[in-house]
Amino acid sequence: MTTIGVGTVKGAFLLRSDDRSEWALEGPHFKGWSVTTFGRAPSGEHLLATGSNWFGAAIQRSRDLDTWEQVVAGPAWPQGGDRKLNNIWAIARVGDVLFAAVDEAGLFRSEDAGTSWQPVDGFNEHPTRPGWRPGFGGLAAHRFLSDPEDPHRMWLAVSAVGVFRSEDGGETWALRNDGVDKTAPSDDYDEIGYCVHCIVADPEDADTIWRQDHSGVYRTRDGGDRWERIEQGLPARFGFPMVRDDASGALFVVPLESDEHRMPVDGAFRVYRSTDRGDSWHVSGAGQPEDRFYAEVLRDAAATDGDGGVYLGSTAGTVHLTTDGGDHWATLPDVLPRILSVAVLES
Amino acid sequence: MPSVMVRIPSLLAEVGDGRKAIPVEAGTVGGALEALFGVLPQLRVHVFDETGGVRPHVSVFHEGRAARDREHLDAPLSDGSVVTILQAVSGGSATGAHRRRSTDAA
Repeated sequence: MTTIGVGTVKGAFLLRSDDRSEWALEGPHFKGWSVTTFGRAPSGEHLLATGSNWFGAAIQRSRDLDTWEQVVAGPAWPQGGDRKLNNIWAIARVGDVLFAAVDEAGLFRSEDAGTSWQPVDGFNEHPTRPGWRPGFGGLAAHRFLSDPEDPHRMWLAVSAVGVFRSEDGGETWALRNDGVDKTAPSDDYDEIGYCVHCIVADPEDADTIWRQDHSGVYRTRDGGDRWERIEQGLPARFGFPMVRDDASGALFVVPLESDEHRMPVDGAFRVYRSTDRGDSWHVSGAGQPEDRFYAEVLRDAAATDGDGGVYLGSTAGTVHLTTDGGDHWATLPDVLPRILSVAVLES
Repeated sequence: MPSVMVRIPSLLAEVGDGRKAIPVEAGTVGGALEALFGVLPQLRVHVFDETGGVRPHVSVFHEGRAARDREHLDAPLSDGSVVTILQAVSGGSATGAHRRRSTDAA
């Protein structure tokens, strides 16, 4: 059974399939809530984050993806301060520890499977924080990576600030963005001002990270010390999501026409694939929408299942998928609300 | 202590226990909210924000008056009183525009 979680602005939907060909739609869970990300606790419990313009953000958990309970002592900024918890954009696991990356930019950790959360002060009180400014999508910490070989090494992406790296389990963090063009320069802090949209790790080499940035597509081979552009074959540099199919090693991006327009180039929704670790890009396979398509795929609305499955959700509520590493694509018939997040929950 | 009813909107019922009306015993509007959080502690963060006050786009009504400040939260209740939590119309537009952007990717 493969289960895909689709988080929308109006709740979470589940797509279930025994053969990844026929899909059954369940939901919505948390009807009316934005569902911004999914995660898994060391205990095996499923986690997801809900958000609302009215009622704020929280983490929900479930053993069976059917009955959910909210975590009462979730990530929270101190009472009386000036920081707001607007959304929870990532829930990641490093060993027995969970990390939650949030907007307004912050990092929290849980050592009890998500029951209680503590701030990661080394990041949250970073010396450059006074210079952090929100991008169009807010001041969001949104992507968290860790080194499978060394759990003390981790990376955190923050828009519109940059990529941070920690070598000591999160005690201290350093910005690592050399080679990336700035899009939001700071007058006061030279090392910030990078609007990173997404980062993806090579599971076999933690020092190789690919990056869809506001300013283009990049790769580092030294853990972020130096980044290089990798845009050969792309029709546009701009975009949000980036994922890697671990079965084939292929990378996927969805280019958009400039940061001003943010639409598929010429109204043609096209997923681009790289089969040479980012050196070059080509339109991925057959079966992508033929009619004009002006919606986009947001940062968290892409996921892979490790077996050739790539799942994308659009702002038009459509779900696009391939199960053969991008050779053939299909669009599911159901149209959901605007999709914010996609995750493989069971495979 | 007066027996009162706290009515909550569908979104809060969704993360509560499904009920949209929760009976509690409380002497004031603020006391009714605290009693509600005693039954459903997960709702506190959805009604109050980091300032300790009612969220900007949440309304707490009692007898037709919005209880936002301390004076109104101290308003006395009597048997049969109803305290209603609503999502304000403002949350989806105007000042909500900034917050709406925060659910878009960067």
